[in-house]
Amino acid sequence: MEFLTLGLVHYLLLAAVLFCIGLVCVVASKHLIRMLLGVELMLNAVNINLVAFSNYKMYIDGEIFAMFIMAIAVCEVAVGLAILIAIFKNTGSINADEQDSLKG
Amino acid sequence: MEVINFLIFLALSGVIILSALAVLFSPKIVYSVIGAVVCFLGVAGIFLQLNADFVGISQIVIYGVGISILFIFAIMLTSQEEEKNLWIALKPRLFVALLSVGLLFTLIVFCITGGGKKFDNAGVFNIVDVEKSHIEFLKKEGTTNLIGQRLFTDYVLPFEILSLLLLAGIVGAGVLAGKDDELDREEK
Repeated sequence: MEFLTLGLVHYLLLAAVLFCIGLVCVVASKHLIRMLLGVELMLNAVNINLVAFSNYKMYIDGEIFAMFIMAIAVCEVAVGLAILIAIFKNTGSINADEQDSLKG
Repeated sequence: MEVINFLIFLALSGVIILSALAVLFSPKIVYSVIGAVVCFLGVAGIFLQLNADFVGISQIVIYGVGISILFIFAIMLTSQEEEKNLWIALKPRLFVALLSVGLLFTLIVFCITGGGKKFDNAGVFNIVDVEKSHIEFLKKEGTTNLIGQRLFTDYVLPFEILSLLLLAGIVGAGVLAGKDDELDREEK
């Protein structure tokens, strides 16, 4: 029963569950802000993966990659929310199903 | 000592998964943001358990403080009255999403454990534990020195490009969400 000692696999499984929950949040939600929250959950799952490998292989590059991902996530959230506010100003709704002006 | 480690990991992962489910299944969007903040703090706890002190503290500052404030401001500026029909998608889309994501999760577990054969704590990677000398070194010195050394010698080019990206993000977000002078003049 070696599964009961903490190892690398446990952190990878946790990151996989968090990634899958974030993915469902993006795909199956009608509110645009909830979609952006799902994207943030997916990025955090990737960060858990990177820092777990950085710990168990005893090198620091995984944590540096995680820092870069965090900084880029901040930019992406800022620009994404600005676009969302512009969409709300133009159409008046944040329902994802009502943004169909490009529909054929 | 190992049992305490495992229990702390179970508690933190329970907090993370429950708050992520609260993000997904909350009817009001403010509850989702609160669940996301709790999830970010739980992830910071996981980072601290993985001997990554610099990344853990910056996770608390960047995600738990910065990004949650951004989301609250966006909710404040785009608030609608009827939020009940914005909860979650219609039944077929939700079930198809859950089914396909379940398949993705099974695929990931299959890859990590090497086809279901190596279902122990190392998986296909053959890494079991961190060396004690490394943990002692990290407890004494911390990771900030190591990150600083690698960041400014090997990774200085991505660092400079990242600063340009942050500048472009700040200016772009300000332009996109700012006041529209032409629109106000037309209305008058």
